[in-house]
Amino acid sequence: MKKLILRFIIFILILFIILLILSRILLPKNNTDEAGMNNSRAMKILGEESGTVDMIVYGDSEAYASIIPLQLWNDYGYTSFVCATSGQTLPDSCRIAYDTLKNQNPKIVILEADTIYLSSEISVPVSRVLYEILPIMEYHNRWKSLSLNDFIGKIEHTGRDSNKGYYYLSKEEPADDSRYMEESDEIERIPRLNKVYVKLLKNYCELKGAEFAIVSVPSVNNWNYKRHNALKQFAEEEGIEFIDLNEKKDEIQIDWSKETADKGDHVNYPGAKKVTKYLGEWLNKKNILENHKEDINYNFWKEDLNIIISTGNYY
Amino acid sequence: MTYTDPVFLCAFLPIVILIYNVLPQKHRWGVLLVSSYLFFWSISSKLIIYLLITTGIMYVAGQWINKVQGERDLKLKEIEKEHKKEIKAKYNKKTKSIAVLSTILLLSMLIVLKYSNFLGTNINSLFGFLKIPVKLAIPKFLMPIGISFYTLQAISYLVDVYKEKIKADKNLGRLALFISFFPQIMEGPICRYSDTAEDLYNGKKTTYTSLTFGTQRILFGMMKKLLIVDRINPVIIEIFDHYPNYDGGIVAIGMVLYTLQLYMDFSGVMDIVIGIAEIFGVKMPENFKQPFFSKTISEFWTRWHITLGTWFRDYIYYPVSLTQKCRDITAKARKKIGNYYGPLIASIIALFCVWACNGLWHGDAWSFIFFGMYHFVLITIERLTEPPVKKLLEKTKINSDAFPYRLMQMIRTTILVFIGELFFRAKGLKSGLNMFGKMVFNFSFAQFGKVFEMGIDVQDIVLVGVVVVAITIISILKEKKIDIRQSIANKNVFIRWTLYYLLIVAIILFGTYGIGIVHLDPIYANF
Repeated sequence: MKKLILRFIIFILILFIILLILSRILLPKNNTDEAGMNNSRAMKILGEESGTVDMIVYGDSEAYASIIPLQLWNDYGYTSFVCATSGQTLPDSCRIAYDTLKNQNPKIVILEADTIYLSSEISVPVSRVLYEILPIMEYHNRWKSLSLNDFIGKIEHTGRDSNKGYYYLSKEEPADDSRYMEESDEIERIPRLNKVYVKLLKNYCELKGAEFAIVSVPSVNNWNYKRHNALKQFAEEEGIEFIDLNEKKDEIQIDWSKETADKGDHVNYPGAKKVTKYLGEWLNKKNILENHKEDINYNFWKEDLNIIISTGNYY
Repeated sequence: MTYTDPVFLCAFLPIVILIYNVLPQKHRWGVLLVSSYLFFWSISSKLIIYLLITTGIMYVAGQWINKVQGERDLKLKEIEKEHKKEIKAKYNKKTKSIAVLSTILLLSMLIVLKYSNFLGTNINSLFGFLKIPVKLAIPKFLMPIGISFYTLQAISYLVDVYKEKIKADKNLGRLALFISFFPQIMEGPICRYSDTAEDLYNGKKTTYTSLTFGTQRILFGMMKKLLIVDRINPVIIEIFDHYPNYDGGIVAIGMVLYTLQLYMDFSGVMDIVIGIAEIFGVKMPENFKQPFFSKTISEFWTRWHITLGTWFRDYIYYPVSLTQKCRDITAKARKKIGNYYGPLIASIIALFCVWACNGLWHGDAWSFIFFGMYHFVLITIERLTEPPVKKLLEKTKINSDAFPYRLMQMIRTTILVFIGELFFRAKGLKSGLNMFGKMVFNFSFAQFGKVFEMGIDVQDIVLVGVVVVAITIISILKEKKIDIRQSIANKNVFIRWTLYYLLIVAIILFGTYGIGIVHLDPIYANF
């Protein structure tokens, strides 16, 4: 039996070394789509100058469709970045936070609430851990596009996103909001594992000197009072600030007949402007972020805004 | 949790193997039983109650039959020879009633959970057709995983106890493990009690050979699942969901790819299941034996889903063909149409029952019944034409053992299988017929390039081609009775480990998994 265990350990060790070598080859050498980086829009934050982003948002598509960092810059001179990805689970949020908080020192980190109700299956964190130990598991599909640079090149992050993670949606597909946020005392249970991850993320952000808050952006399809009640209760228990923009429907006044891109799932650009306006006022009241508009070290933000304006699509 | 889920392969299975081997032999069956229930719970949670009820029925009915048989044996010892037949008949009637009652109970559970919707919808349609103003409310039930598989196992156990092929098990734990063993619960193989119960309970220690042979088998199965099944899935979905947009050539590609997918998916899972069982020292029956080398459809069904085929043979085909009615028909027919075609009539009646059940077992839709009837017709034609074909071959002096003839038979059988699977996968019988019509009346190569717009590229196709060639070579070697795993085991450690590393790296590198990949649920787990 001892011999069997010894053989097994040697076999696994050699296999591990082979996979580590292959992981190094397959790992994208830049934070761009062309280099093969997954979730490259969110990971473009790695291309931002160190220590220049004061607010980071994690979450799923609700976050990247609703929060416009350049509007916050334009209105208040706040620097922010939306590191949200499609269907981002909390283990993903934690992983991205670990990467992004290495060279950014935000004053506040926001977690968009929808992700708290996404999959809580144990396979999600297990896969995440596997991906971390052996990046070949995450980037194995890159075998199709390997180049010489993948074998000999250094890893660098030069990709930047002028939109700072916001994803522009122009479509209009009206939603039926007749039952949107109907008041209720009921509670939709937050998956236990997700609670653990929220606490982990909060602790990590606080360790890095950032305030942690949860924000729920407006969505007819993904949010309701049961979720509001559950999250409010959880946030109170954990001492987390929770802003439910769905509850503020009278203040934000999203017109669900025009301001949604997909029948109430996500807000479109006009909706996002209203959401960001409210968020800006809230941040302004909190008075924790600096106005960098006059700081010449932040001129690249002005350039980014000009790039987006020059596209002529919006702003 | 499925068998290719990282949680299963990297956490659940290694932990179970470890605990199983650390504990003394007498407790190992308990480890397997607890892990089997945990596995079942992780997929079907509270629906485990159905599995427990099935186990309970098996146990109680088995013990009851055993008790009656014991009383009969005691009685037979006491009485005169001339009364023995009468006593036997009396007690056999009682055991038969118990077996029938418990089988009805088991089948009722399956029918209610699986076929309520199908039956209700069709009854309502019939009422509508007959203009009867009644509409039945159709209840919706959640189905526990593997119910179609473990119910057949449970029935085979009770029938075997009734027929005294096996003794009813007094050990509830062993019986519970036999019906719930986690590697087989989802997709089989459909085991007989005499095949696996003892091995499962014995708790043999994992040896170097069982670990390496089992792991090889698991890797082989994963190669089929991860390199092929999900890779070709987007093309299959596109073709079957939007067939009106394509010509017969594309539909034919969809048909061939779906058959490939079904085979790789099911046989891949079977490799994983048999490999896992091997690690625990349990020899599971094989479910596939190079089916595409079959020369006839009858032979195909002795090589594809073998345990289902043998179950239908033993528990439907033989009992039906041996009924008094069928025997009478055979006797009369022999006199009129001879010794070949005479017994064939009873055989065809039994075959009809088998294929109606086979079709229904696969799902609650008319397309599945059509699938069953399609094979029934093909097999019937085969049987009916066997003598004239034989005569023709003799007259024309064609050697039916020659390779070209056998190859022609294999190709013909494979094409017939392809067509069957087209109806099997199509969204309803009407779609199946339309798709088949397209292949016959609107076939062209003009749209072949469109395959590359369906979510796969040249590299994917090359990869699938390489894997299919590799699996074909392995199948040929198996067909020639060459034990590949033993051949590998005989090589030196350098070659052996290099082969293992190549296989593992190929699966990790070329597998279809990860971010953005939506896995196809194991196809047979839904039946």
